[in-house]
Amino acid sequence: MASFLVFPTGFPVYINNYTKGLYDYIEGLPPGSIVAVSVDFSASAYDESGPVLEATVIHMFRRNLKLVFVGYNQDVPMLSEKALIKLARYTSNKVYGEDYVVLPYVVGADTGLASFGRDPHGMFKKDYRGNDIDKLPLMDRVHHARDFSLAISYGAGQMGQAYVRQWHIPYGVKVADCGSALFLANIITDYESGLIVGGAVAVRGAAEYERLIGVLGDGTRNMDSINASHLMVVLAIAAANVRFLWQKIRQQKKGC
Amino acid sequence: MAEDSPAEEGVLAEMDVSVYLGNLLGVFLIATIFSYLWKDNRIYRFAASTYIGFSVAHGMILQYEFLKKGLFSDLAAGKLISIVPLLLGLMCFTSLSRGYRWLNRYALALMLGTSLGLDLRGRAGTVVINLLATMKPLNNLNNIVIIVCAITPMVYFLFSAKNRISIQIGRIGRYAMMVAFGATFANVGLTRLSYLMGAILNILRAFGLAS
Repeated sequence: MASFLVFPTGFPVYINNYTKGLYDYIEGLPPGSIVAVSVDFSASAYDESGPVLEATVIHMFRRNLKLVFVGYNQDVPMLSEKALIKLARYTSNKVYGEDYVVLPYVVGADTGLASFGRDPHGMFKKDYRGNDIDKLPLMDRVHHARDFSLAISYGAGQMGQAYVRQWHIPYGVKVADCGSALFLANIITDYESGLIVGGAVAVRGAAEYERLIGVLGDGTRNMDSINASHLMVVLAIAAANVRFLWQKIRQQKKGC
Repeated sequence: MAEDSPAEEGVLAEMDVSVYLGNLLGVFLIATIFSYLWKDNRIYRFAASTYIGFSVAHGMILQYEFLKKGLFSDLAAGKLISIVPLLLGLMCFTSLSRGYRWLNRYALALMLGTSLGLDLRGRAGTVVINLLATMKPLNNLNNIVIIVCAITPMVYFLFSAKNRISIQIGRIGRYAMMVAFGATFANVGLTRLSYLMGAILNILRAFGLAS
């Protein structure tokens, strides 16, 4: 299984409509649009949600969108910086403060999100790197949640739904939910009912998104191994059943 | 793969030395945590305590930074209204004292009330939209499944008017819930497997075996 991590083959991955929904929405945004990249998972969940974050950020940087990294978990700034280091190839032509900004984390879920949406400058005086927020050109364009063309929540929890409650319902901001696989049912429900524009969910979603943007990243690598693991489990179940049936038939023959 | 954008091998692998050193340390900690599979041992407990210690320390520093950049700088700038959240925050610590514990309730009541109010503001909208989305024409199998799986579990939890028909409908609802829980459990399995694959990938990268 580990061999697929070293030599990813890119098993066929069916692209779900909610993943395509997010891709299409980002494709449709005019260059220069501002996106809130809400990193809402802790360090331990990076292996699940990190590949989705990386794939979507690559796509958004390619589309020349302006990214505001923010989040509601104390690990957020550190993980945002980690993703940006990994994506150095895509950020080399981007200017910090003009093309992207990393904000400190926001305390509180719904309450923090509502406050940030109403007055981002009131909530933060400085960014994570210690710069004065009022002096950052990108933050000059951000004074309310309505200034964001899209908010994407990457999370192990249900911050995507909090974005729907606090930004989409009152202000009409479009939201995408790239949550954990655990919340897949909620994400599909929200997508089908039109509350979110889409979402790439967990490693599977990352593999789908990487296929859409033509990148071979951690999502494809991990998904290949997971596919191989699932195949092994299926084969093991089949082998155990064949042996069980074989023993039963032999016992019946002996009984006769 | 998108036709006009060929795959780019190893594009996510450009990391500096500090990240590689971090990976090496991560490998050591992953190995020590996995040593629990053999049996509970001191190295495992060391790794677990290290993880908790680092998490708490990191959290405390960030909390302090948050206060310093927000509340304390506001106070320094002469915004006296910031004294109110400072006092409310300090009131939370009165839960440590039996005599002044009652003060804690005011802070908690304000926090819970605000959260609940904000939550309800948006939740009412989301519930209505989700409910409307389940009201579909019965013209294909998917829509029929959605409607059956939305109504029958509600009948299962209807305890006031039990009769033979409602019990039978409720049984369908129980199966619908079992399928939903099964799918959720499978997704939890997928999550854990992706954590494992990520850990293995980190180990391979630390030794230069994967890009």
